[in-house]
Amino acid sequence: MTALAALLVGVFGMAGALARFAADTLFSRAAASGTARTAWPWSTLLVNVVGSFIIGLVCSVTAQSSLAEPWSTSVATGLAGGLTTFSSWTVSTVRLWAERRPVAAVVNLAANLSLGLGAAALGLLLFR
Amino acid sequence: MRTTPGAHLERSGKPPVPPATAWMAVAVGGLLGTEARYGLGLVFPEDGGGVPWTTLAINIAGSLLLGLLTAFWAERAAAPSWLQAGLGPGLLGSFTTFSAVVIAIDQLAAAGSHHVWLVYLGLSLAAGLAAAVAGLALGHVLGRRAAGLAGGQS
Repeated sequence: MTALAALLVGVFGMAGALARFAADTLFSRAAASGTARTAWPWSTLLVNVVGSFIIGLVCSVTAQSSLAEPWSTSVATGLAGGLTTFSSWTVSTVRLWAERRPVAAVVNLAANLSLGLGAAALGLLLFR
Repeated sequence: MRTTPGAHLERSGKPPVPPATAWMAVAVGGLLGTEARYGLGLVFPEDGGGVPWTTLAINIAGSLLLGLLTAFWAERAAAPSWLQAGLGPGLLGSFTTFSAVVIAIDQLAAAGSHHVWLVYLGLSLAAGLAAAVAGLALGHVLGRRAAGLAGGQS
């Protein structure tokens, strides 16, 4: 059972990582008409908000005991964990600051936090 | 007669779609990064009502390493694209997590543990950003040194 859980978590994490990479690719191609000056990490915001909603949803559904292990861990730790990213968020914020775009850097911090916290709270409430 | 694959993409000015090797590297990196985070959570389980130290440590370490690699590759630009994709978005992107941070803060706040979530949020932001700054600085130094060695004595 634990071996199955470990396998499922990894496979769900792989799916999350591929979805995030696809979002990165789509956004970088869509933003190619703009200049580097106006580039902003939209794809990281999108995956972090979507993943936060997913983990909130899993927690509320699991509390209702309608989602059994290892599926709840696979979706929460694997899919939501693999889809969202902390390191790209912090590094992109520092890079925006280093490009002398302090407003863009602070907005990047605030937008991910407020929308992520809100999306997770919404997911938590949905099946309560 | 146009035989170059992707020539129409170059004309439009868009960055090319990453090659299949990059997607495969992201899949492998995503698997390994997620398993590493899951495994560390099993070895160092988090107490539900306290600061999630394991997630915090993972996110700080991942921010440091991604900063280091980003700056190193910016100096050298020598790594193949599949390696950059596999280690950056793949391994470190999946190793670190944002969703676990916000769900923990939401649940700690709902439980009334306001000092705990404030400490967790403050530490995540301060240490995560400091780690990214340190990683980027270290990557610049290492990248320049590596480029200097590769370029010979000048």
